[in-house]
Amino acid sequence: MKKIYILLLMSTVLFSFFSCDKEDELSEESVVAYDEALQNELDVWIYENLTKTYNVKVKYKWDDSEVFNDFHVVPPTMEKAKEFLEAYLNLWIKTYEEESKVGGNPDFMYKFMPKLLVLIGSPQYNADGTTTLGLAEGGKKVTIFNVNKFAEVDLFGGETPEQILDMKRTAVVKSFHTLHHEFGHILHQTKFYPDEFKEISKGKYTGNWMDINNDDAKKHGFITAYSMSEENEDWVEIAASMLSLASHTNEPYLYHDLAVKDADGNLTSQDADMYLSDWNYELHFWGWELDFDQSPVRWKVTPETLENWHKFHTKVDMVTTYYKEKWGIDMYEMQKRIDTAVAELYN
Amino acid sequence: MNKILYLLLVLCVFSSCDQDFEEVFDKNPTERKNEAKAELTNVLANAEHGWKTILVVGDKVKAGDFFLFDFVPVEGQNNGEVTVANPFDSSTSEFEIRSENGTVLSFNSWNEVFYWLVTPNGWEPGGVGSDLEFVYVKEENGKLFFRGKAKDIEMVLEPATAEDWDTTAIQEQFANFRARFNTNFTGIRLTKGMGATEETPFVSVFFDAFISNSSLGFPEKKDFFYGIKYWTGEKRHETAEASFVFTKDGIVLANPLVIEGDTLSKLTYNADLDTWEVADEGLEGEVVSSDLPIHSHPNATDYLFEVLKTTYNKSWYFSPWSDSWSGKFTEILGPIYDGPVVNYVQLGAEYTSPEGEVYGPGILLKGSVWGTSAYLPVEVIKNGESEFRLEWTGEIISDIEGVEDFINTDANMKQILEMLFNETGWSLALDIFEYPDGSKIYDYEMYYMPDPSYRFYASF
Repeated sequence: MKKIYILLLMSTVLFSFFSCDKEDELSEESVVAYDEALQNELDVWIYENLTKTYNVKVKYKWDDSEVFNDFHVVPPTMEKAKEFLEAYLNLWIKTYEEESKVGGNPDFMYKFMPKLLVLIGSPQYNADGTTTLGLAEGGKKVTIFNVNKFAEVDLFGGETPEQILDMKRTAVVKSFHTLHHEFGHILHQTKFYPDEFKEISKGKYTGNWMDINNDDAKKHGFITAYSMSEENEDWVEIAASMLSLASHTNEPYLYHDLAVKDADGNLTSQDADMYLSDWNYELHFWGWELDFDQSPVRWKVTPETLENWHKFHTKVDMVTTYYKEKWGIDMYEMQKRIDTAVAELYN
Repeated sequence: MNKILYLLLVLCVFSSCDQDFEEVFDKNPTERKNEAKAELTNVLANAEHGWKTILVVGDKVKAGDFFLFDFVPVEGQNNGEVTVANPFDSSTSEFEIRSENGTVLSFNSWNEVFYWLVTPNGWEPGGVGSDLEFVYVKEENGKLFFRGKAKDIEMVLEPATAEDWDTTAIQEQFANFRARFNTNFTGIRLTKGMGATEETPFVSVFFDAFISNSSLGFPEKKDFFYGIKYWTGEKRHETAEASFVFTKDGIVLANPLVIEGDTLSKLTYNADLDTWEVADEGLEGEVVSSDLPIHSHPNATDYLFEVLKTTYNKSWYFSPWSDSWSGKFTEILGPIYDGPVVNYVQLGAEYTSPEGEVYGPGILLKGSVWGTSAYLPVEVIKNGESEFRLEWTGEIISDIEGVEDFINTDANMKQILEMLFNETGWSLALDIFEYPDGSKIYDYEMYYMPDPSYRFYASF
C-alpha cells in the first residue's frame, strides 16, 4: 500500500511539472521600434567634442527621468546650452586634464569626471525659498540648473567694451562654481580628506545657513554661507570658490587706495594701490567691517574675525594639499589655467 | 497522510491545459503602442495647415496664448521638428511622441514661443501652469484632446487654416488695443448685463498686473497681462491677474469677469467705429479710455474730507519732489518750496487758527519760518460723487510775513492757486482697501480736469 502511495505521489509531482507548452514561433522581425534621436548641430558637436573624446553623455533635451518630479523645471535654450558646453570643455575639462597630466595623474579626468551631464534651463526652486543650482549623484551624474542665465552680466550703462568683456569673463568663471563644487564631492567621496579638517570650525555648522549672509559667514571663517551647512560642503565650497575666483590670476587687477594689512592680517592706517587677483581680493577684504569709533570712519577686522581668518587659511592649506597630493592638481596653477582659458574663449 | 494524497489526486484531476483563450487584440502590446504613436504622429503631421489652440492655464495667475503648430516628423519616426507660432513670433524646436501610460506628445527641447507658459520663475516657482508633455486622450469632431502629464490642464488642438498663419491683422489689432492704454485709465463700460443700464453703466478698470512688472515674473509680457478692478456699490473687487489672448476673432480674457451670472470674456474690434466691443452674449459695452477717472466712486469727495480730518495735519500735503505723487505739479511746486516764504501747499479739511478758531476746508500754506501758516478758506462744491471744485470764500488767516504779496506776485504760487480754484474742478479716483482688522486705506488720485497730466496722489 505504501508503494502505491509513493507511486501516486511521484506521479503527482511529475504531473505538476507539465506545462502548457504552446510553441508559438518567434517573429523574425523585432516588434520593438526605437526612434533615432534627432541630431542637430549641437548634438553633433557634443558627440565629437565630449562623447567621443571624454565618454561624456550630455542631456539637454527634456527627459523627465533625469529630474525630480517634485520640481518644475525646463530644458535650456540651444544657444545657452552650446555656450555653457563650450566653456565646460575649455574652462573645466581641459584645465583639470592639463593640470592633472602635469601633476602626474594623466587618467584623472577620464576616470573621475562625471559621465552624465544634465543641463536644465531654469533654477530648481525649493520650498524654503532657496534655489538648487547643481546636483551630483553617485559620482556619475551632475545636473546643472539655470543654464539659461549662464554667465549673464548686469550692465549699468557706461561700461566700455573692455569692461564688459572683463565682466563677462568673470561671470563665466564664476558660473562654474557649481560644477567645481559637485566635482569636489565626487573627489572627496573617492579619497577622503583629513579628519582634522572637521575639527577646525566644529560647532559653527548650522542647518540655518540660509539665514546668514556671505559677509557674516566670513567672520566665522567660512568662504560662503553655504559652507556653514556642514563639513563636506565647507570643503567643496573652498575648492569651488578658489577655482571660480580665478579671474585676473595671470594679470592681477589694479585697485587704488586699499587699506594695507600687516603680517598678522591686521588692517593698518596706511592705504596703497595694489594688484590683486579675484582670489587675493577675496582674501584681502575678508571680514572687513566699518569701525565707527574711528574718525574718519575706517574699516576694521575684529580679533574674532582675524582668528577665524587664520582658521580659514588652515582649511585652504588642507584643501590645496589634498588636491595636490591625492590628485596631482595644484589649485593655484588651476586658477592660472582657468584664467588663460577664459581669456582665450572670450576675446 | 491519506487526506493529503487524496487532495493531490483531486488537484491533478482538475489540472488542465486550456489553450482556448480568446485573443481580445490581434496584436501584441508593443505593436499596439507603436501603432498608437505612429497614428498620432501621422495625424499631427498630416493636417494641411497644422493645428491651433487657445491655451489658458494657471490658478493664481491666469495666463494664456493663441498657438499655431506645424509638426514635421522625420520620415518613419515619431519625432521631428515643430514650429510653434503665436500672433507675434514663431520658434522651431523638437518634439517626440512616446509611449508611457498613454501616448505622449513631448515638446522636448526649448521653444521660445511655447515655453513661456511652462518656465518657472521667482514669482511662479512651479511655472505659470502649462506643461511640456501632453498625454493624448482622444480625437473628437476633428479635434485632438490632450491632458498635461505633470499639470492637470487640457489642450485641445483643432485644425488650423492657411489664414490662421497670417497674423498681420492680429498684430495691427494688438497695436490698436494697446494704444488705448496710453491714457491714465482704461476699462470696460457695460450698458447691458451685470446689472448695467444706459443710465447706470457698469465700469470696470484695468490695472497693471504685478507679474508683468516684476523682474521675477514676465516683464517681457507687460503688454499681455492685466488685472481688473470693479466695484459693487462701494465694495472694491479685484480679479486674479491674467493675460489678454490675441486671436483672429478678437481678444480673449484669460480670466473672464463673472458677475450676476453674466460672463465678460471676449472683445472684438469694430473697425467702422474704431471701438473694442464686448462680444459676449447678453452683454453690451465697449472699452473706454480716458485721462480722467472713468469710474465714479460713490461718496469719493465726502470721504476725502472726512479722511483728511483723521490725518496729522488734517490736510493733503502736495509733494513737490516726486512725479509719482504729484505728476507735473512738481514743476510748479518745486520752485515755491525752494522759495523764502512758503514751504508747503496743502489741501486742508479743517484748520484751527493760532487764536483757537476752527475753520472748515481750505488751502493750507506752511511758512518757511517754522510754525507759521496761512489758511485760505474754501467752499467745496460737489459736481458729482467724485468731482468737485473749490471756491475761495474768505480772508486769508495768516501769520506768514508777506504771504499776500507772495500769493499775488509769485508766478508759480499764482498758478497753483488758479489751478486749485479752477471752474471745471477736480476729479477723484478712489480705491478703498479693507483689511481683516477693519482698518481701511484710502488711495486717492486727484486730477486737474482741464489738464489731467496734472494730478496728485496720496494714500491715507
